[in-house]
Amino acid sequence: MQGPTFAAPRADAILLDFEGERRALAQYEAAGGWAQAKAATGRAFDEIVQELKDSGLRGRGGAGFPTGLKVSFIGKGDRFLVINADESEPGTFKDRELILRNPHALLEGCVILCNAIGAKATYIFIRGEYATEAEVLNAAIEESYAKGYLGKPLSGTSNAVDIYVHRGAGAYICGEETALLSALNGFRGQPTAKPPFPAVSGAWKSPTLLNNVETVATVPYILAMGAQTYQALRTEQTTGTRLMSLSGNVQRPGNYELPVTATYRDLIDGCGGGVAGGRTMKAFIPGGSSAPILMPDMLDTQIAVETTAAAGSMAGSGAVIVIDTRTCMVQFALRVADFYRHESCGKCTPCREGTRWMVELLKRVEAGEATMDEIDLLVELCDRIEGKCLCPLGDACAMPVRSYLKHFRAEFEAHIDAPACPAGPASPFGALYPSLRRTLPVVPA
Amino acid sequence: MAATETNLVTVTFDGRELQVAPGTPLVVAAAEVGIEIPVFCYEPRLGPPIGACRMCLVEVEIGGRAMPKLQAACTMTTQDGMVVRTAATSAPAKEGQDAVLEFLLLNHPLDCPVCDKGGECPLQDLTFRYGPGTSRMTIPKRTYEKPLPISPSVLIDRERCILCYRCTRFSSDVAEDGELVARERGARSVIATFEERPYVGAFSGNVTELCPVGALLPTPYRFKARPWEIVNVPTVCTGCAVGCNTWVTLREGKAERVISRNHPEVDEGWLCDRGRFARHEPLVERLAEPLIRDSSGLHPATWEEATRSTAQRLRHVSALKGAGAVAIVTGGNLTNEEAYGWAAIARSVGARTASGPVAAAGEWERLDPYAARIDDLDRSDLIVVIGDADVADRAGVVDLRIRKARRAGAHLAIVSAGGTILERDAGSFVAAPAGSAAAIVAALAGAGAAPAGVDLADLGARLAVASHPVLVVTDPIAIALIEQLAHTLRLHERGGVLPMPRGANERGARLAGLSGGGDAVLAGLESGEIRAVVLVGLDPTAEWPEAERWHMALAQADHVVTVSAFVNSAVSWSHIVLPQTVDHEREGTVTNLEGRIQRLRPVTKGPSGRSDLVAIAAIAEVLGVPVAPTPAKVYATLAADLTVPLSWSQLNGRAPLPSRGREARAPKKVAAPKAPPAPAAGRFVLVAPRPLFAGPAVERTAALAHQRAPWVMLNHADADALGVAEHDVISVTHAGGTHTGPLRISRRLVAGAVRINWAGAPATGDATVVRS
Amino acid sequence: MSDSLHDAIQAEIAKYPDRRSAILAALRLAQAKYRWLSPEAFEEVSRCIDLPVAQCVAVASFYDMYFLEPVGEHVVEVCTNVSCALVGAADVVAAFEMELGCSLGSTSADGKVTLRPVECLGGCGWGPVVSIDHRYHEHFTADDVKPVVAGLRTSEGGH
Ligand SMILES: Cc1cc2nc3c(=O)[nH]c(=O)nc-3n(C[C@H](O)[C@H](O)[C@H](O)COP(=O)(O)O)c2cc1C
Ligand code: SF4
Ligand code: FES
Repeated sequence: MQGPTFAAPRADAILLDFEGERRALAQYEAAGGWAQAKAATGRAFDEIVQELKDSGLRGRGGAGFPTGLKVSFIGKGDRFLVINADESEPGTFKDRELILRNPHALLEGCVILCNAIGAKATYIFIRGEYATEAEVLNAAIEESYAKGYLGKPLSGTSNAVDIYVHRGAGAYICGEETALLSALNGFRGQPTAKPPFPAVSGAWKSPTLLNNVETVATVPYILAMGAQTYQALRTEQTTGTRLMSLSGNVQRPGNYELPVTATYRDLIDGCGGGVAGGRTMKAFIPGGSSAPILMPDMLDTQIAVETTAAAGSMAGSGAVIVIDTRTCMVQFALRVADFYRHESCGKCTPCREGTRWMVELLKRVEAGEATMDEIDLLVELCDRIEGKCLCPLGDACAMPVRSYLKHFRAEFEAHIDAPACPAGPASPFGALYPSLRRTLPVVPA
Repeated sequence: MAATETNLVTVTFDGRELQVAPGTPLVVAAAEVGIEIPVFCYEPRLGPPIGACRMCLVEVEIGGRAMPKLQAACTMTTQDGMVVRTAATSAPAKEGQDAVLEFLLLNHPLDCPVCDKGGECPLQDLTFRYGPGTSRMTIPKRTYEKPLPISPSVLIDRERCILCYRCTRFSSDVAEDGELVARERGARSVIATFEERPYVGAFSGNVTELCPVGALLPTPYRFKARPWEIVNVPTVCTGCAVGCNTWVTLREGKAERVISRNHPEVDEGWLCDRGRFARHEPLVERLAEPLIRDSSGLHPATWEEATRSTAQRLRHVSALKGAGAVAIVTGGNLTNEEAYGWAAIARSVGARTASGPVAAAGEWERLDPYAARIDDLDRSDLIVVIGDADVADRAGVVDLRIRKARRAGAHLAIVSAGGTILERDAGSFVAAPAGSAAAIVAALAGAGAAPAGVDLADLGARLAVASHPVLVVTDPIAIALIEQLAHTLRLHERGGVLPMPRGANERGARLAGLSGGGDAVLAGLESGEIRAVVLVGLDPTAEWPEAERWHMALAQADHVVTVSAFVNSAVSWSHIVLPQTVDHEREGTVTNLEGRIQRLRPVTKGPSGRSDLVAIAAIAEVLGVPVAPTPAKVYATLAADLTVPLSWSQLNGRAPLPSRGREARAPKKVAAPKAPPAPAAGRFVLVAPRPLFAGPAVERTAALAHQRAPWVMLNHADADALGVAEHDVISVTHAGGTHTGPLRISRRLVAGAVRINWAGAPATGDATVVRS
Repeated sequence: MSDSLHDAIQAEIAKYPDRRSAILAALRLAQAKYRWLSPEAFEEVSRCIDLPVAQCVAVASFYDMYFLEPVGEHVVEVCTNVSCALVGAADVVAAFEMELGCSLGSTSADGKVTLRPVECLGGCGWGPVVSIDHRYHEHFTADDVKPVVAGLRTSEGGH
């Protein structure tokens, strides 16, 4: 038992180009911090938007939307900046490390964006479980007030920025932007139909800019090096570096900041030292548990948004999960689907009912009670959920399950034919389903 | 503003082209070209669409580009050049619809044969029309304990619930009581109240009509009828002066249910629980036959005897004691035709009349030049409510309309002693001493000083600049004062005053000739000037202020004739008792608070089998005054006197409200009222306006008992000083008796006031408060 | 009346343009005070924030971190999501069940510790992750269970 372990910085790192923590304001300033916020006060909204557009920065929360474009959409009126620090997509733990190690970069990014759009306040919506992280942020905020970076205008602007930490209370769906805003507004954290988009009506019905922690923390660095330099490191449609969360059956898990030109092999084998214990990779997930699974033959895919999409999955939140051959993919599917069932907000029909149905079907398959028809029904269920829900959560359940059915259909059928789990007791998930486990005969691995 | 030709856009639905205003929900636009897109959660009266059920999925193409996913036709709105394909022409849309229906039925018990909603259920209809017919479900359905009471008047069957959130949106976004909510998350979500406590809210019953399945049902209607055995009769609620349009469901000669018959200008399809559940039949203690007293007590008599005896006594007293020795006192809930009949009788015997407790508070016609319509609230930018009574207590669903206007951006300003249900969401709230409405109105009119400590500057400034201010005074103060304020504010040119009569047809009764106030009659009785009194649909000893004085005064009269539907305290010492009908039994017209004349249709017959008008006509005949025994004929006579006459047949359907002249005349001068005195040390001022849930029918309705559960409200500082906490049982003693109930602490109720929800007769004045 | 809770909630309300936004914080503060959100706690929150009590429950029951039923003095939450499960979370769960003598989702007989499964805590690369009284412990192994439980059994309630 020990605390989080931070990987050593890589030469081309931007956000985390240092060892250990840079929690104190003095440390951040010594590394050149807050200079960009001060320098940017003289710059017009359009100029900052252009700089962001030129940088090619895309949102790091999951959807990969171009940040400059998003900022340019902001509506008129009292505006708010909201930071998405809900980080709950399984496999993702990068924003947490960023907050623990470099919180002032986020705060500086907030001030730059607030001044650009004329917002007086930022609300950082941080998942409720991140208690220590909320404390670190609050301490950093306090220091910044004391230093005059917050609460009063920086010279060259008349805009005084306040930053508040708003803690969630345990609901993955609050990472979805409209659900996050419902929760911030004091309602159940359920998504709302778009339009109206947050840019027009978000926090307290005001125009709201909502971005991920990593996205905003990158902003001061882009201003420091200039958009041209930042975007020089690029694939066709993605630029810069991104924090990749590496987890699962890998030798050296952790967050690694990689240029978007790197490949999943660079990450898993290079940074992570390959599959743990010398075992063999069965498959990997490139962008959080909602991303369709990829087989090892896709390891040379670049981690950029468009390259990962071309490979048949999505870069999502940059969370890579390595699965070795011991794992039963039916149990894995059940675990993933059960997460989305548990997190479905219950507002729209296909997600609420579909995820539950899917879990119940997967349980039947896992326990060897299902018929072959029910495997086809599972595929049809994916069809009936995907693209029909109010927000992407239903898809986030259907897409990965569909991909497991596609790549590992034989394993699903084996549970019905055999009826036994081909992976046997070695599957790390077996023990999670004791009620189902009992119904299975133990077969040697 | 009507859409002009130029700002229309062109949209195509399944190949049918349509010109429509941009921003119209696709479901609405499709309906215009005769294409029905099925919906469950969409209900425009609940506010912006939420796109939850996904029943309305369609394929959409904009500017020649197909949108990547199916779109919800309720949240998606029209844009120029949009091409929409519904399930009728699009395979993906059809698949979406099938998927949603299959998901909805997954856990549904499919118990239509035993469900009260069966036959009038959207889920059943849509399943029948579009459904798959078979289920592929191999897993167990969700089960819940059922049915559970949401309150004594509403039941929930959670297995039937499709989680469309209509009911919870009603509670949070329309009634704004927030009591009915979704609890838990995802597939475990259930509709619930806090700790399964009853949903107490004046409008709770609307959820039974909003629910598109048989999940929320009105308890009194449970297992009562099947849709093919019922007839729905269109009529109007006479619970208060709003006059909500209703259907009364008739089965085998009994009125089993009341539902809304949406009149957008009046009620927008809402009813309060009083109108919905206060059942007049079959209720106990109905009077079924006339009674006449002899030396041994009251005895049944024929109608002929009773009406003749009534007429003779009135004529006798008037002949003997002169004009003014007879009084006819009515409760404000007669039809216009009945009121006309009584007024004719009154004229023939020189009787004084009263249609409300206080004459000055009943002169509604003074407000005519300034009178607002209910739907003026929709256009208002400032709504000012003055008074200690809640708007809902005076005029049920007007409360909902005020909330709607506020949500749409109107500023809601409230001046009261606090503790009303409307103030929590108000834009501004001015705490004023209890009972100071008259002084506030006078002060705003510049005709007096504001009560000490009440700052009306902000409100005055708002009133000065508002473009469409609507003024509502909920307490019964002199109308001339309101007139003065309306005149000062020039409300004949902008906005207006929404009158708040206490009786359902107080305005109509005055117009038909029953003016005057109970105050003069009471004085006349006490001085002995009045010797004979007729009480029509009213027991002043239970419903009017000064109950004790009324009791004594009536005991001195030589002749008391009571016309009542129920046995009440006045019956026991009346000389003649005539049974009366109640609203579902009546025919005729009533005039609502706006002055809108609407038609009542008889759904059932009263236990006496006779219409009130026939009895009135019989009395009139003896007196030699012609009163026709049929409402249509009387109405024709009445209508001739109206500024804008509408024929009997024009009152069919949704009654219109013709516009009147708005020419203001110089208002009557009235003396500035005095602010009420502050309570003596250690004592409290009682605030107890007559609540919505009061009156003989309500008191006899079990399904409304929870709405009347007593409580006592104190300011938090007073509670602290008394050392009492929320829920402690508190006794309040005042001139009218003692009222006991659990404590509610309010931070807005003014210090030194104690509010109780009902004390029998309306009461004010000095009170003591103790923990019991 | 306990007005420290009232005051703390008012301080939260002050952070927002609309008091309603303070509901999550208000519930958290009430839970910190009473350990779980009893009906009485809900009523107190409702009064402090001036929001109908049913709305407070509607919000609270939506989230995983509020306890609507009584819990032990300590709460141990084990992440069982995929990344942690791949590296042995199931063993940690089994070890806790054995040591506490209660199954996942229940409280030890002495009322000291409630053991709950939780979804991904955001420590996936440092798994298995266990949260004890809302503080994270990374790289948690079955061997850590015994000493940790012993410590919890002897210390006062802490979440
Ligand atoms: C179900 C769901 C969960 C999400 N969770 C997160 C999250 O935890 N953190 C995050 O930053 N974005 C999350 N997102 C993406 C956000 O909706 C949003 O796109 C993002 O925060 C925008 O910021 P960006 O443009 O900087 O990426 C989620 C989206 C969905 C549909
Ligand atoms: S009870 Fe009826 S109205 Fe309420 S959510 Fe369920 S189906 Fe909809
Ligand atoms: S009617 Fe459109 S989603 Fe319910």
